[in-house]
Amino acid sequence: MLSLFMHGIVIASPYDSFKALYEMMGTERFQSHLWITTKRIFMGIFWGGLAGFILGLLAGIKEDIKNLLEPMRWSLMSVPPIVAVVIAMLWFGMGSTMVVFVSGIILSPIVYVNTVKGMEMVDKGLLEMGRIYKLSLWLKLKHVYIPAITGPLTAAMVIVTAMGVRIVIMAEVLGASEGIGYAMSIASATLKIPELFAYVIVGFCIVGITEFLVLGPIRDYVLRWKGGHQ
Amino acid sequence: MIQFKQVKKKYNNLEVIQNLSFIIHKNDVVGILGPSGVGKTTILKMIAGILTPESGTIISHVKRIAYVFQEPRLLPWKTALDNVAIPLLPLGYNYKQAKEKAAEWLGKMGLRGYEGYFPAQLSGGMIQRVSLARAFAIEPDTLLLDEPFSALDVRLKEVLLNMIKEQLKAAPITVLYVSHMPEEVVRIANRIFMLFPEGTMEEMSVNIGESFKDFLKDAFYKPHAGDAGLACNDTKQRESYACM
Repeated sequence: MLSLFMHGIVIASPYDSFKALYEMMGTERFQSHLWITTKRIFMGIFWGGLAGFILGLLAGIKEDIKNLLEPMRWSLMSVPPIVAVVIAMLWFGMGSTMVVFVSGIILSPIVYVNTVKGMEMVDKGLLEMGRIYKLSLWLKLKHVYIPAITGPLTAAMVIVTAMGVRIVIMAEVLGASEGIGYAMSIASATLKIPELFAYVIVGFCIVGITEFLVLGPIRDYVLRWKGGHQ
Repeated sequence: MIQFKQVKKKYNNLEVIQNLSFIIHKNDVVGILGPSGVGKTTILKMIAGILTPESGTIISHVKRIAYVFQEPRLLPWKTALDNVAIPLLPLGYNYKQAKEKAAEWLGKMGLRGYEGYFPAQLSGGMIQRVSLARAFAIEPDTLLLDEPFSALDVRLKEVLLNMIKEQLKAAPITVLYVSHMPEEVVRIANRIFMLFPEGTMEEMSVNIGESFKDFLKDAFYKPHAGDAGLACNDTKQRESYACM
């Protein structure tokens, strides 16, 4: 709608954006950017998610570990992503390591908080049952805690995915020489606005595909026990 | 053998159990009666080691405890089979053996064919049978039953009490059955303790051979302050269904 009233240099019309996307899709350059960015997104989500999940489990089990990690969690959640990018560029230079690192440290606190809160909300009755039947810590984690936190965790993963795409693209804009973010910065600098908006559509598609085709089926499978009476 | 010596238990400033002393011998089937909130569950939890007393001593020679809770506390994300099998894993069973034994016990509880169902797909009675299967499967030497059938209808209660009785006949173990329903307790108990709101407990001289009405008249409904039985203090009322 806005494109009807504004100049093409400010906002590209859907037609121009999709046309640019269609033209780009066949090019090797686009496929390479898409592949690199997708890989970085999944690596960032994977490492950030894994770190947040493991640290969250440890913090959920031991109050001392939680007390130790809380200031770090608070600091990471308070650091603006742009500052994280600048520091990571100093440490790792430009490229994939920096992008994955930044997305990992920005995303891990979200998974961490959801894991800790999920563990705190585990039904005390089930934990009492586990104690009476002498379930080991491993059995409790495997059969009580982890299934119990799956619900809040899958909800967190939706947020993490959307945020992961934004963080990776932002990090690529600022400090990478390949990937969708980098391509967007070039398109912006050369005023190829339809191409810029075509990449925005690609970002939507990555979030949509991850949420509905990857996370959705995983969530449906792990929460299948919530089905009603037969 | 389980022995309580001068045990006291408080929740904040509320003293629930006062100087409680009793002995339960091996293979006793003990019913603990009393109105809600007098500390019946607290006694079971102290025996199970979930709660510790403020003072006094609990001597327990129990090796393996099974606990059937009022609300069954099944893992909602696990099938009936897994719910029975998981407590077997700490006992040295591998997963395959645990599942075989779990299937056997579900079968004994009349749940063959329901092994793959999640608790949300089972009825209240079925869920409590899974809970019983879980308790019996670990072959406990002490079984703690905490108002296990309070949410079930009379007919189902009857079926499950018979299941427990048959199982105890086949393999006697120590049982503590907590309830505020005397008609349930007298069905299986050979000793009955009455817990009073003041936090004290008395063993009732119950002969299971007596009729249930005589038992009520002689023991359970003798007046005690705060006793739920006070409502049934005349002969007509005592004979009514509500008083039973």
